[in-house]
This record gives sequence, structure tokens and C-alpha cells, in this order.
Amino acid sequence: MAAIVFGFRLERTVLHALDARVKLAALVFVSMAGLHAGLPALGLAFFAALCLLALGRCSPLRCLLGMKWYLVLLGCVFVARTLTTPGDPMFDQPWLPATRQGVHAGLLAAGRLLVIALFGLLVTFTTRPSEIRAAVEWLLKPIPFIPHRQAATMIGLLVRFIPVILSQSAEQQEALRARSIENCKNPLRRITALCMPLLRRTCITADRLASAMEARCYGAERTIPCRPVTAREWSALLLVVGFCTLMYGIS
Amino acid sequence: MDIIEITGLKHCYPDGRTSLDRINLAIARGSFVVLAGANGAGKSTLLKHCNGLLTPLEGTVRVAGVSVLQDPLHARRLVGMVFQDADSQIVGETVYDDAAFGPENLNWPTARIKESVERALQLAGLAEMHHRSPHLLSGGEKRRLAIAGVLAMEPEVIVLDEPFANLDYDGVRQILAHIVALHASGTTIVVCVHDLEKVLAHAGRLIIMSEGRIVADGAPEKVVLEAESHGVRIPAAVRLGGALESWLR
Repeated sequence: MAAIVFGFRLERTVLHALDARVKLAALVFVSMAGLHAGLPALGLAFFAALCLLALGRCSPLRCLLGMKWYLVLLGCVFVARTLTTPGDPMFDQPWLPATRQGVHAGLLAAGRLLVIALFGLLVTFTTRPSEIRAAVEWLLKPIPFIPHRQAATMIGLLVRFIPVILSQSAEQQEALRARSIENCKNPLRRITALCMPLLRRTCITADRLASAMEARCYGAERTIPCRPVTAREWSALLLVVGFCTLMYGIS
Repeated sequence: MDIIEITGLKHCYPDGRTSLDRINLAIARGSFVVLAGANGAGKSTLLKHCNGLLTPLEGTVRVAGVSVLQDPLHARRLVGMVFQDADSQIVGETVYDDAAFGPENLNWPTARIKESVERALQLAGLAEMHHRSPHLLSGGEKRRLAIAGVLAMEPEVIVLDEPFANLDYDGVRQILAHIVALHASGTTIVVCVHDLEKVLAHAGRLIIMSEGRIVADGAPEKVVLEAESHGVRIPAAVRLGGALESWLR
């Protein structure tokens, strides 16, 4: 499930047609606005992200289901902030030190991370990795001392291999279940049994991939698939800037 | 005219064991060669030398008259290599992106890349699924994509390392049909296998390797008879006294 959600899927939507550079720039703007946003602005951004996912023909519900472990992590962040932020206590029990300020801070922290993740997901779902790679290369090019081509290839491969690693992890878990891993009560042993073969397999895959890339003449000089920026891209960028300004405005 | 010339090739593993020992081999342009041997015989290592992925400890490997050591990119451009594990060979997020990876590395203009990739996908029978994720293709389709990725670079030689591994009967027939069609169009084919049954009927030459050496080389119908003494099973039809039979019939 996660392997399918976190990858590019070709659809004929306006989001898919937009240039990757604009989408990456929009992601940066929204993330920056999100980091300074209050709860109403985050709610608006969350709603906008769900609408855009639907516009990109990616079911928002499926996305949230695919992100279930990330949501668990966000839940942990919320609980930690709720219990550790000083302020007005919500309950009389001394063993439950939740505060009103903590709940607010927890919602802010988890909401910001969720909004950034949803917009990031939207970019990976609607953009070919080769276009992301080319966009990163284009954006990093003016910055001195950064090997922009290598950095772009690393990002492209990372995006390509997330679904493969998730698939391998699912296969590994099935293989462990087939050998009754559930009977093992030691969580450390269970994690080791999953992670060590997965790590080894990932390293072998990476090694084979490096050979295959070398066999196909991988090098520094490559043709970059870049499209010209049109009025549609500028309009989209203006919309994003307007939306970010609104987020600042209501924060 | 030989497209690949190997003279006195020696290669050792990092632990010092010899993987190839005094290999002398010439492969003619347009030929169909089957390279057979048991596991660990040195077949894959030899193929990697043809593609410039490995450098010889001793001896020379020349592709179209140019030393692989001096110009590995020339070798990689002319000798396309299809690896055994198609999954770890696929780089692109879509079928089209993956096939375009090689031509992009060759720094070709965009129009030429598009033309070459579309032709390669057409030849591999994948034109209709150019937008699909390679991750979701079947085993046979992934193998065909690996071949298309190499074809898009317009090589003169295609070397395939165990191309039928993990494929069902239909998958084997599809890949075999593509290999035979590529050979008919003039491409030099080198297929590395440990099971002769599926491909030998189409080959013009059989080379058997054992412990890093070439131990038999010649016409398939003659060399096949000594295959079993080097750990390679003789095809069932030959064992029963018949002629080599194609899997495409």
C-alpha cells in the first residue's frame, strides 16, 4: 500500500502538467509559511492539501492510510509536547501533567509536520523523478561548491528506491511471519530479524544498481529533461505566493 | 570482422582467487554466441570485462578495435549489458524514464533520446506501457524493459547474463523471441546461461567455461556433447538422440 502511495503515478491533471521547478518552489514556500503558521492557517493548509491531492487523482483517504506510521509518529510528537510544555494544567491528577499550552504546542508541531508531509507527497505523486532530479539540478546549479548533478541523482534514486525498500520490507515481514516471528516476545530480536536482512539486501541492491548505472554510461554530463516555464507555471506560482501570504495573514 | 577480441585475459577476485585465467576469445560481428558453464565458472565476470565494468589484471579486451581499458565508455556504448536481476537494473520511475536513462547519459539531444527510446520500447513490446511504474511490471516485462534500456543506447552487441532466470514458460518464450529478432536484425548476441535447453537451438556458437577457463568452443551440435563433463546439462532432445529444438516452435 505504502509502496504504491509514495510514488509517481501518471495522470492527466493540471498538477501533473506543471513544471517540477514550480512545484518544488511551491513546496518550499508552503513549508516556510507552515513553520510560522498558527492553527487556523494550518487547518486551511491541511484542507488545501487534501483538495489538491483529490485534484491530482490521489485519494486523500488512501494517502492518510499509507501514512499511518507517520501519523503514529505525529501522535507521539503531540503527546510529548502536551505532557512536557509548562502551563495551566488540564487535569487534577499529578501523573497526567497535560497543559492547555501543551495541547496547543502539540497540535502546532504535529500539524506543521503533517502539512509539510502532505504537500511533499503531492509533489512526489504528481512529478516524475527524472523531472524532480532535473529541477533540483537546475535549482542547485547557481550555488557554489555544491555538486549539483550528483546531488540531483541522489535525490532521484532516493525517490525511486523508497517503494522498492518498502516492498522488500513487506516481503521480509511475510517471510518472518511464515517462520512464526509472532511467537518471539523480544521486540529487539524481532526488529533485528527484520532490519539486518533488509539492510543487507538494500546494500546488495545498491551495489548491483551502481554496476547497472555504470554499464549504461552514467556520468557527470547528462541530458537534462527540462521544459520551458510558461504562463501556466507563473500563474501557479502567483497562486501559491498568494496562499502563503494568506497563511501569514491569518496566523 | 571481430567486434570483441580478448587476448590473454586474467582476472582475480579481491581475495586472490583466480576468476578468469588466460582467456583468448574473438566474437564475430553479427554472431549469436552462447556462453555456458556451472555457477562460479567465470561467465558473468567475462561479460563484465566486455562492458568495461572490470579491468583486466593481465591481457587485453578490445571492442571494435578499441581497448576497453583505454576507453571504457566506448565499450559501454557498443556493448549493452543486461544483468541477471532486472529489478536492481531499473533506475527510472516509469518505463519511459528507465529506457531514457542510458541515452541521457550519452548526452544525446532530447529529440534523439525520444526517438531512440520510442523505437526501443516498440522493439521490446513495451510501447503501450511507457507511463507505467517498472515496479509493477511482471518478471518478463521487467526483463524486456532491461533489454529496452540497453537497446535505446543503440549498441552493436548485447550481452545477456542469465536472461531466462526466474521466468515462467511464457516469459522465457517472450524474451527468447526478442533475442532472436534482435539477432535477425544484425545485432551481435552473447547469452550467458547455465541451462542450454532454452536457447541453444538459435545459437551459432557454444562456448563452455569451467573454473575460469574456456574448455570447449565451437558449433553447438558438436560442443554440446561434452557439456555435461563440465557441469552443464545436455538438452533433453540431444540426450534422447534427437536434434536441438527451439522453444519458439
